[in-house]
Amino acid sequence: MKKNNIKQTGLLLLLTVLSVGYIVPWLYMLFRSFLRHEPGMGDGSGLFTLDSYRVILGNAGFLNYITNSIIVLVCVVSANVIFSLMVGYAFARYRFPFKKILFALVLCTLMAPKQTLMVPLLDLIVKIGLHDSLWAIILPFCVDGFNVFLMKQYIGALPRELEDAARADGAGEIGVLRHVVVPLCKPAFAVVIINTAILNWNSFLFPLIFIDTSAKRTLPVALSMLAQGPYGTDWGVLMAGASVSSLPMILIFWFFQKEIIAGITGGALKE
Amino acid sequence: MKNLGKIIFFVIILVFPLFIFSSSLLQAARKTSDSSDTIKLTFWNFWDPKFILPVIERFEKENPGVKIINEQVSWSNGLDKIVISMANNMAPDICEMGSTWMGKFMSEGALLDITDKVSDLKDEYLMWAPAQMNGRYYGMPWLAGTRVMFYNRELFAQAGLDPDKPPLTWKDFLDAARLIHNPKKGIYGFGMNAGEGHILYKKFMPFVWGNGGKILDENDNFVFDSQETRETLDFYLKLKEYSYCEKQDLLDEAFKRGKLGLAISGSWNFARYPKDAPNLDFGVSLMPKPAEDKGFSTSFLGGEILVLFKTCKNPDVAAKFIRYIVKMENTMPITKEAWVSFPAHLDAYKDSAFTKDKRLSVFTEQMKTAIHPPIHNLWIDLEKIINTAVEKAMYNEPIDSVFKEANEEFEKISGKKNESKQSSSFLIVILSALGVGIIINAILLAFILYEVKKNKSGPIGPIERAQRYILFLAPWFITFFIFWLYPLLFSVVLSFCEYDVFHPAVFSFSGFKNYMALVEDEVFIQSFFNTLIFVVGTTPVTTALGLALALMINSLKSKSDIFRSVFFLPSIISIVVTATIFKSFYSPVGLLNRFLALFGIQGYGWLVDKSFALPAIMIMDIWAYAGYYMVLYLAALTAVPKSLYDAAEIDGANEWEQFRYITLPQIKYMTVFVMTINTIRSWQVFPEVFTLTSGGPVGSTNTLVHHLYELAFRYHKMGYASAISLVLLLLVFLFSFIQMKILSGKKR
Repeated sequence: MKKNNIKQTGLLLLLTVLSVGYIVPWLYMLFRSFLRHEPGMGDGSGLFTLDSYRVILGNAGFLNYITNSIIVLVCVVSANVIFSLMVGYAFARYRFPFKKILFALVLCTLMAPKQTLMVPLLDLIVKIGLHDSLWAIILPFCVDGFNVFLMKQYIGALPRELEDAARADGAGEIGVLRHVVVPLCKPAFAVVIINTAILNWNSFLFPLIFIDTSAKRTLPVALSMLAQGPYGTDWGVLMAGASVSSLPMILIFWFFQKEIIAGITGGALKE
Repeated sequence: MKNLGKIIFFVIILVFPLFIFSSSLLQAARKTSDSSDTIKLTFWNFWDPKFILPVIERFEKENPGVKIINEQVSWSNGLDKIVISMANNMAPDICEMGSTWMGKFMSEGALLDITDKVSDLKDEYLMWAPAQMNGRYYGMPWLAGTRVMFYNRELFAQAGLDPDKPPLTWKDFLDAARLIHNPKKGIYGFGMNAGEGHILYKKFMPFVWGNGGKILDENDNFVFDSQETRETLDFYLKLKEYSYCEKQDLLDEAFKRGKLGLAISGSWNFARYPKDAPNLDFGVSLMPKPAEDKGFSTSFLGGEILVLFKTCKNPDVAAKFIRYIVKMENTMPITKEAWVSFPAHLDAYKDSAFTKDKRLSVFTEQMKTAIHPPIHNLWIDLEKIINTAVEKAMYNEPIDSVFKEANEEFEKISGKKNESKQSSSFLIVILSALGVGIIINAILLAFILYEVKKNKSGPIGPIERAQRYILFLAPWFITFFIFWLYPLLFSVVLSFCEYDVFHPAVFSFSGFKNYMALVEDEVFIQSFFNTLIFVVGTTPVTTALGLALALMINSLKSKSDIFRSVFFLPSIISIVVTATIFKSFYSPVGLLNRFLALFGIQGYGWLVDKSFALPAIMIMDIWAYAGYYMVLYLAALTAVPKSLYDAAEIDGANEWEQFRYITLPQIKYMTVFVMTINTIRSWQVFPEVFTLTSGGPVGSTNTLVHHLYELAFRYHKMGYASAISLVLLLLVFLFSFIQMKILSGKKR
C-alpha cells in the first residue's frame, strides 16, 4: 500500500510539472493580453490595461463577427451531426456496390491538403453565386470525412437486433434511424460536435478567401485584421483576441468531457 | 418518403452538370439587376477603416450618386487575395497595391491606363516610377516609405563612441558594431534580417546600390553578380559577425529593449518607441556609404500605389476618387497614426509634423536618394533570387556558388516565355463537370443494376431499395462530388497546364512538363525531405507522449479532470495563435532563452538557425497535438476490461508485462487510428511553418504544402502547384496505406 502511495505522489508530481509546461504559454497569453506593452519597458506606470479588450469588444463590428461565427458554427456542426449520422449509417448497415471504394474516398478527403483545392473551389463558389455569402463557408463543410468515418465505426459496433426489431414492428428506415440509432449514438455525437466545432471555430483560410465584405467576416479573420499592423503585430490585441475566441471552445470541452471520452470509448473506433 | 427519395434521386442525376452553368447565368442576371442609379465602386486597401471611411464619407457627400464600398484586406494575405479574386473576375474596382507588385500587374495588362486622368499631378507627387510603364501611367502614388539607420545613443556612449556622430561610412559602421557587440551581456552590434524571405533584399540592396551595383542593367540583363555586389556581400558578412539575426518585428523589438546598437528600420518605429519605451535614447541617420570618397548613401524606396483594375465599372468616377484620397489632408491621418509611410504628396513634408521632429527629416532626406527596385514583370521571382543568394551567403555557402546559382535561376525564369497551344479555361470547367457528372451517373446506375440483379422479386422494387441508401448517402454525395471531386479534377487538369491567373480565361496545355520539372526543382526536393523528417520525427513522439500522458492520468487515483483539460487545451486553440505564442517564446530574447540563461547557457536564435528551426517547429507541434491523442488514448484505456489486469496480477505479471501484454494489444486499434490520423496531418503541416518561419532560413523549414502555397499564390504557378499537390496526395495515400498495413498486420 505504501509503495502505491509513493507511486501516486510521484505521478502527481510528474503530471504537475508537465502541466506547468503546458499551462505557461496560456498564462502568458492571458497575462500579455492585459499589458499595454512588454514588461520591463517604459516607466512601469499603466502597464496593466484593459485597452486590448476595449479594442476588440468595442469594435463596431464585433457583435456582427461573433454572430457570423456562431451562425456558421451552428450550421456546420448540426449539419455534420445529422449528415454524418445518415452517411455513417448507410456505410455501416447497407450493402451496395463500390462500398469499399466509396468509403476509401471518404478517407481520401482527409488526406488532400485543402490549400491545393482553394483556387478551383473559389472558382466554383463564384460560379454558383455563393461568393461573399456565409453559405460559401457552410455548404462545402457540411459533411466532414472524419465524422463520417467515426459514425460508421460507431454504428458498426452497435447491435443490429434492435433495428431489426423496430423494422419488424413496421418502422420505416428513417423511423429506425431516429428512434433506435440516434439515442444510442449520443457519445459519438459529442465527439463529432467537439471535433467539428474546434475545426470550424478556428478556420481562417477559407473564410478569408471566400468572404469579401467586412460585415460577413467571421471572428478569426476579423481578429487577425484588428491585431495586424502593416509592420508587426499588436500583441496585446492579438492575445486578447485569442483569449476571447478560445473561451467558447474551452467551455464546450469542459461540459462535454465525459461524453467525448465515452464517445471514443463506446467501441467507436474498434475494429 | 418514397416521393422524397425519388425527387432527390433525380435531382442528383440530372441537375449536377447543369448546376454549374445555370448558376453563372443566375449570376449574370443578378449583375444586371444591380444597375440602379447609384454608381457602386469597391475599394480594397490595407488600412484600418477608421482612416478610410471618413474620407469616403466626405467624397460621397461631394459626389452624390456615388457609393464607395470599403474593404480592408490583410497585409499578410493581401496579394494572395487580390490574385485569387482577379483569377475569378472578382477584382475590386479600385485597389491599393504594393509598389513592388506593380511590374507584374502592369505588364500582364491587368490594370487600367489612367495616364490622361492623373498625369497633370506629376509634379506634385513623388514615386511615379513604379506606376509607370512605357511612358504610360497605370497607378497613382499614394504613400511612400523608406528605411534609415537607427542607433542607440546610450550604447554608443557606453562603447566610447560619440552619440552625436553616427557612422557615415561602411568602415565606421563596422567599427561601431564591433565595439558595441557584447553577446554575453545580450548586447549586439547590429540587427540583421534573417529567416524572412521577403524582406532581406530591402536591407541588403541599398548597400549594393550605394556601391554602384545593380540588379538589372538598362537592357534588363541580370548584372547582380558584379564586383560591386561582391564587395558589398563581403562587408555584409563581416557585419554579420557582430549581428543579431532575426525577423523584422523581433529586430524592432530588440532595438526597443536597448539590445541593439544599430539597426536599419522604418518610420513606423516612431509611433512605437516613444510610447512603449520612453526612456530609449535613439538617433536616426542616413544610411552609411561605402567610403568617404566612394559611392553614396541610398536606401530602399517603396510604398503604396492606387490602381484601377481593367474590370473597373466606372473609371472616371474611380479616378476622381483616387485623386481625392491621395490629397495631403486625406492621407496625413494615416501617416500620423502609425507613421508607417508618408504621403506621396510633396507638400506633406512641409507639414509641422515633419518639421517638428528632426529625426523625421532624416527620412525625407533619405527619400531623395532612395531607390525603388526595378519595375519588372518578373520582379517577384527576381526578389526571390536575390533573397536566396544573400541568405545562402549569410549561412556560409561559398560566394561563388551562390552567384552561380543566382545566374542559373535567372536564366531559368527569363527563358521560359513560350506561347504554346492555348485553349479556353471554359474547357477545364466542362471537362471537370462532365467527369463528375459521368461518375455520379455511373455509380447511381450501378446501384440500381445491383439491386435489379440481386433480387428480381420481393415486396419492394429494386429502385425503392436503392433509394433507401441513396437517400442516406445523398448529403455526402452532393458535398463530396461538388466541393471535393470537382475541384480535385480541376486540379488534375490544371497540373497538365500552364495556368496563368492573370489570364484566367486562357490556359496552355503543357503535358507532363510540370511533373518533369519536379525532379529538377531543388526546393521541392528539399521540402519533400523536410516534410519527411517532420512526419517521421513528430508522429511517433506525439503518439508516444499522448499514450504516456494517458497512462499516467489513467493510473491516477485522485481527480484527474484538471490534468485532462490542461493537456487538451492546445488542441482547442487555433494553431496560428499557438504558433504566434511560440514565435515570441523562441525568439533570442524570448522566454526560452531567459530560462536557459538561469543555467548559464547562452541564448540562441532558434528559428533563424538552419539546423534548429525545423526541430523547433517539430517540438511545438508535438506539444500542441499530444493532448488531443491523449484524450483518444484515455478513452481507449477506460475500455480495457479490468478483469484482464486482475488475472495478470494473479499470474504474477509485473507492471511492464501488464502494459506490454495486456494494455498495448487491447488499445492497438487506437494506436492504428492515432498514427494514421497523425501522419496524414503531419504531411500537411502548413500554418505552423507559415506563421513561424515562412520556410526559412534558406529553405530549411520549407514543407510541401508551404512550397505549393507559395508557388500558387506568390509566384502564380497554379499548374505547377497543382502537380505538387497531386504528388503529395499520392504520397500521403501510399504512406498511410503502408503504415496501416504494417501496424495492423503486425500481431495477427
